[in-house]
Amino acid sequence: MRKATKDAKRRAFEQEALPHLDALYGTALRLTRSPAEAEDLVQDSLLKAFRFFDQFQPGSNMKAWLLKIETNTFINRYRRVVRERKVFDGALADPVGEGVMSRAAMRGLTHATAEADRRLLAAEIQRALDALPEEHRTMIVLADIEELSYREVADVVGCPIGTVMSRLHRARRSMQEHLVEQAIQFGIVDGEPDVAANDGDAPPVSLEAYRRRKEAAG
Amino acid sequence: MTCGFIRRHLGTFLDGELDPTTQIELERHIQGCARCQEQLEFERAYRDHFRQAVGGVRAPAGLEARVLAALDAAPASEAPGAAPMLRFVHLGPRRAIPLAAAAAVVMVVLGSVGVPGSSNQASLSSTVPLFEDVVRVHQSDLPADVASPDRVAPYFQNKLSFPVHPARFDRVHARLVGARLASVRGGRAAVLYYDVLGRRLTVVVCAGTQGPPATRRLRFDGHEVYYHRIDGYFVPVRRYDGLNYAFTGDFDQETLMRLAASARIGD
Repeated sequence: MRKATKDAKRRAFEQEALPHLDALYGTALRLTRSPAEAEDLVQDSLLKAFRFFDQFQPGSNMKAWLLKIETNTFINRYRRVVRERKVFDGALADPVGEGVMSRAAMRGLTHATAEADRRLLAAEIQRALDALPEEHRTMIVLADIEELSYREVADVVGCPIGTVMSRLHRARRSMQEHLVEQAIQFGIVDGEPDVAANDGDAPPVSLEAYRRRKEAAG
Repeated sequence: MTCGFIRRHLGTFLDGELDPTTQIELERHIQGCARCQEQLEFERAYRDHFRQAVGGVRAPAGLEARVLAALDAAPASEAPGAAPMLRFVHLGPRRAIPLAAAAAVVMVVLGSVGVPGSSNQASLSSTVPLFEDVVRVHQSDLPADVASPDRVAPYFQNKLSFPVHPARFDRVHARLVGARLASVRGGRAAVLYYDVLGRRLTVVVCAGTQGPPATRRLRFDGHEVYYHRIDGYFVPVRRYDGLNYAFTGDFDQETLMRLAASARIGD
């Protein structure tokens, strides 16, 4: 029986798992931040998934199952500093500031459509994502790129749904703040403060930024 | 429902993960609040930017073939509940692939490194530097003094107080690729480099009458293996004929343990 069963298992595995190769690689790339390590991680994860394929429950989400294996493989193999978790639930667990972003800057970003601006922003987003602490990065990747539900993310990462929610919020918020900050520096948007009270103190709007915004909007 | 509350839950709202009642309440508030509408638009735009920037990654062209080849070489299944970690039996070279997304093994034979003070019991403080040195030797990644396997043993003949017999690996594809001298805890050591399917492993073997103290020990595959973890590196040690052979590299714990246990030393 061995051979026939093995072949069937292998075929089924290839059919179910390989379509998720891009997702597995994309996630691995975000986790490891290195193309070579990402390939290794994908390979290791798929081998592991194949070994435990019998334990996959048909009807459940194959992609989430594979991503769970990958995330765990990553954590076990590549993460060296376990203390990171503590740091994160400690000091940085405080709520992030709300409403600190300039509305003008936000508006500018919302409507940033000029190709050059978008490219700059894309590069900044990449950087900001890579700079996130691992646990936050993992959540963002699973929820915002792979579009897993909160329940699935919670299952992959092994934490309560409430934690998923609050971490996602903090991570997105810090990404957004970084993005706004960089956009102001690049002159894609201007960073004039919201409060009309001190118009006298408003930082000079860069003419260049103004033109670019006009172009973008037009 | 305040604007602050809305802002805090806007992401969850967009994800459609709020409970239905709250979801509807938020929607109602946002419809009547220009400021929250603006926030929502921003949140949407941000998501767009984000997906464009980092989404849509495609796996490199060769990855699928590589995975398929690895699957070909992998053992077909695991008995449910069995610890996959401690199995390393009858691996032919081809089967070694999953084990070793790893490709070079470095093996270091340490020169006489007597533990100062006590001869039969060393303290943790005198042991840790040894492991630190082993890891440092691995990390420094210096070129080999000899790059031909045949010349490894002769190379060390007049340089060390003990003969060097490189460990051999039958059950995993590990190839001796070179060797060099190193200094470990002030003593001389032989460093042997192995290539395990493209990655490097460092094995440190040190002279000593006792096994490395202050480490854990387990019986693995018929061999006594000591192990210690330092600076994120896992370092298993085998003892033979008064020498300690310490293995390390950028492998996971399981792989290192298997490599250490499967090494043929002194026979």
